[in-house]
Amino acid sequence: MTAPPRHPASELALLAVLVLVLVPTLTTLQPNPDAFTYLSHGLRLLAGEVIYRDFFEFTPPGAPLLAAALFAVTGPSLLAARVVQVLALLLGAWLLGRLTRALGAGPWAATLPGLVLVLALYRFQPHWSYHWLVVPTVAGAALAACRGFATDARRDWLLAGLGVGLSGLLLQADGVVLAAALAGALVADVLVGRFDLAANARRLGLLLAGALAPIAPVLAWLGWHGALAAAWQDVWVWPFTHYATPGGPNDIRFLTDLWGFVSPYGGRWVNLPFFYAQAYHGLALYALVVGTALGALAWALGVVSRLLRDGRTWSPDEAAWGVCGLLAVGFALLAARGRADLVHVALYAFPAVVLATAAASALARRLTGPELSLVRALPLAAIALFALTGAAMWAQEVRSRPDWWLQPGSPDAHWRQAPLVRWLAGRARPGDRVAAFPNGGFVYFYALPPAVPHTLFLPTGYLTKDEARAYWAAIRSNRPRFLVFVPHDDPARTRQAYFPAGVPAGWRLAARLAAPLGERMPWPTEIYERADTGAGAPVR
Amino acid sequence: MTRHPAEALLLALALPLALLYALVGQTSGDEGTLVHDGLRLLRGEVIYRDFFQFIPPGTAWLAGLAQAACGPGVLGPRLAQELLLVGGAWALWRLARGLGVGPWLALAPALAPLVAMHRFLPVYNHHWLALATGAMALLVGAHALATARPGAWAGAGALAGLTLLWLQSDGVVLLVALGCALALDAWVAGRPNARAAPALALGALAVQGLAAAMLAASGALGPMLHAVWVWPFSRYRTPGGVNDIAFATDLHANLSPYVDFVNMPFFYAKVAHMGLLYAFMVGAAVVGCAWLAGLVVRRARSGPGWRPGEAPAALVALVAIGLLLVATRGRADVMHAAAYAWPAGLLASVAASALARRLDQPALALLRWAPASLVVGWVATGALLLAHDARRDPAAWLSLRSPDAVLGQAPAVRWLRDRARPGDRLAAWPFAGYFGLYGLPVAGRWNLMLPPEDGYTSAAEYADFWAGIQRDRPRFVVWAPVGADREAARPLYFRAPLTGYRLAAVATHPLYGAPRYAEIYEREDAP
Repeated sequence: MTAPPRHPASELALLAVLVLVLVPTLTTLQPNPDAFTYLSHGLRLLAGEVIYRDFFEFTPPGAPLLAAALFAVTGPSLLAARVVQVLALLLGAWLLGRLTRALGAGPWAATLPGLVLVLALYRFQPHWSYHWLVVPTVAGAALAACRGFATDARRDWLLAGLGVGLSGLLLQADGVVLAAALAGALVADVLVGRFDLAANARRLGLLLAGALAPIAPVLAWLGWHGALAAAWQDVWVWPFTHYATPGGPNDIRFLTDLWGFVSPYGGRWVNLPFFYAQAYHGLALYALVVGTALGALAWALGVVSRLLRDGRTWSPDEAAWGVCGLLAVGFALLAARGRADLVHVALYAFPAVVLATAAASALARRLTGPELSLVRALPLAAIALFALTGAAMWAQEVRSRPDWWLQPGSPDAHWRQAPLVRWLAGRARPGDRVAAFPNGGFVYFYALPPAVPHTLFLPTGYLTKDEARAYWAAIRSNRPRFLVFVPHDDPARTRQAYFPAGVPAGWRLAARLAAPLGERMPWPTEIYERADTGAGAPVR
Repeated sequence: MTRHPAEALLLALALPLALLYALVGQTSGDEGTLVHDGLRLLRGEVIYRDFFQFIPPGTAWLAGLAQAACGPGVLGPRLAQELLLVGGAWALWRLARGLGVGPWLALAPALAPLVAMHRFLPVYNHHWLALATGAMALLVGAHALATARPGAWAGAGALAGLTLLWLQSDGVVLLVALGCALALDAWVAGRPNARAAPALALGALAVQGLAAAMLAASGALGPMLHAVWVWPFSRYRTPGGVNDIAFATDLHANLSPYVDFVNMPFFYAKVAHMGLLYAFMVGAAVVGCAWLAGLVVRRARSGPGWRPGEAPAALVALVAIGLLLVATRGRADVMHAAAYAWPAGLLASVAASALARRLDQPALALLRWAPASLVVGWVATGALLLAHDARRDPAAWLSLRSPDAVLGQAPAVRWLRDRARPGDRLAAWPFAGYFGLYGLPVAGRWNLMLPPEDGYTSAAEYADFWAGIQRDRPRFVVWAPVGADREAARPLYFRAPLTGYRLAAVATHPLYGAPRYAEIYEREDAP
């Protein structure tokens, strides 16, 4: 693979379009409790707590560490975090374009994965998330490995390793799949390449060295603080036993929510053009993920059969396809595991889009003849339409909720004015802490520090009974001044799950306020205050 | 073209499958109406003049002929239809072969109608008749394009005209597509064929002219023109009516894992099947348009000349585009989409074969079969779903008894037969078909009468139906509502008191069986 020549016009055009699209996302008020969970972990680190030892998290420490580093400079700021994420997305989009170019696509076709990333995938979850931070590290690693197969340069393999390490620090699943894809490509290069074990062992060594560069210091830090065993348990054991327990909130099987997505009656899409856009979008997303994975497998088998029949080895160009094919297969498997709803499939779809774009470009080159002049553009047009339908639905989302999307100014200023935050801030004294559930991230980020080990407390189908008991034990031992219950369902039905033994003795209802994160939750937030703190009459 | 074992395999698979469909214990209000129309013809009535129908007369005529041969009931018409469908499958196989598809892959588009489409509505229906003769018309049209023989064009026109006798939309699409293909052929090949167009028109007119003459002879030509060419455009799909289903908007119900596919492998088969159905239909039309536009550009730039197989492929593309347009009109639910998907499946297999020839590198040895595997996968998942249908309802699918023996024994029609005396007649609604077929002759001109709120029959037509009961005073009036909640439906259907009748029986009826019940009213002055 020779490095594709740079094409500033297409790259700048892509970045310009994406900046225009992404800038309004900086100020959106669309609520997402998960984002505040991850961000509040950054604040806990800044406050001196140690992840895994002092509080629970089931993803690697990369995103909380990044948030902590950022907030050390900017102070707690959702806006600052979003700026960082937008920069990561822009870098990711650019790297995906380079990767697609490395697979032989033309410069303008190569803008498609970046456009899809933002317009069609990011729109599902436009919030601070490790899922988006990991895009540039995965794409960068894959690109470096593709170059590494051609150049054998030490720098390329070290960079690929660095990408693996950073990806693993952000999200264990992505890191593992990336590492497996690159290792698989190296094994394939031994088997169907030049049978050069030594060269590939050297590459593997460089890859490992690059990966350890970011991971080793973090492991040392965790070890120093006695959090290594807890980290292992939280990151590598807990997700496999708890994340998608049967019947739990994350137990959604692959494709089973598509029907809701293609229903003209189930959502806000009563209008037919938008229904067709949505139906195409949903079907195309699954077709891309499943189709590229199956196509990559068929191609890989073809390469092996060619080797067995003709003795021909693969070229560096084919090695690049191998890297991306393995990545697409791995990410498709990831998408099919765990919580396999449309949103999570979208989070894992970007390698499929790269491969599909490159394949569409390769196919176009084979469809010669004037009668096919339009036909050859259709596969790429189908991918472009996937991006456009995503944009159309995003626009519809913005139009339907202008109060969320078209608010100028910092989102932090808005959230700090939320009744719950103002009430707590007005009442709190130095040293006061709070336990908020089920999802306390918002409260911890804007109001008071937490007094419990779990930021997210879902006692049914997510945390075990032991974990729930530990949660309440922490409340009894830490005795936070406030308990905040933000019901996401009818409290009459769910109260028993959250207060298994009733409201603990020593706390009393102090206020009922509008829910902080969304008008979709009609049930007011309940604030309980410790009785020995001299609280006044309940506020209604 | 020489014979190939795949052809024998096609017949070996298609014939038993067709027989299975002929015997399946499924029902449909439309089937009852269409077969009963045939019986009314045998009783001496004249379609359009004496009773209402909004599709062309062929379906009723064939039903009448088949019942004349096999006796009253659905079995005869079904056997005739299935025989035609086997012929259609064979025509599709030959057509696919002529378009460069391999003999084994050609089995997929050939078997698709029986395996993947018919299962949506496994009864006697004009859509399947139109599919069968439409495929034959396309085969003969492709032959005409290849040979330029006027006789072949006349044959294609006659088959398209026959298709127009089953269903106006399909017939029009075929005739237009054949005409366009003929014009395109003359332009692209640079050899105008002066005798082809008259031959095509003559073939179509021969069939249609004969039908028109027969109708005119019995005074039904005027009513036919109104019922077939005016009524559907103003009444069939009215906004908010029962048939107002926009294309693909019922897809969600077919993709839900909670409706009937709790079993994940079948759920995934269903998702793949539905996804491919719509992908082929839309994809074939889009790719077909792009390819035809490319052909025009090539002809304009490089001068005349077809490449091998292009002319018949253009004809198939035109039909696929036309039928997609038809499918998006009318009642565009999944069943109707499936009935119009056959040229899309054919075109998909042609494109898959052409693509495979271009992916000629050894590393692509398996990948080149990917497009073909999609076509095969579509049919294979259809077969799985068909097997699932049979497993879910073995009594209906696997009893292998004559459907008439089952339907004719439904309690409601048995009660009517037991009680009837010579000369007795009945009025039934909303679907009178099976009651007329297995019970008593139907009085009045309406076989199908939905309440005006359903946006199908107008208030004036409903009033005419109601007035007909009062005028003809049939001994029995049967109300067999579609839903299970009769009390909720009653005000919609009983728009005026049914004076002079008393409720005589409530019994399950042949169309839906338990737990749906028909109320049978008997004239009070009847002994």
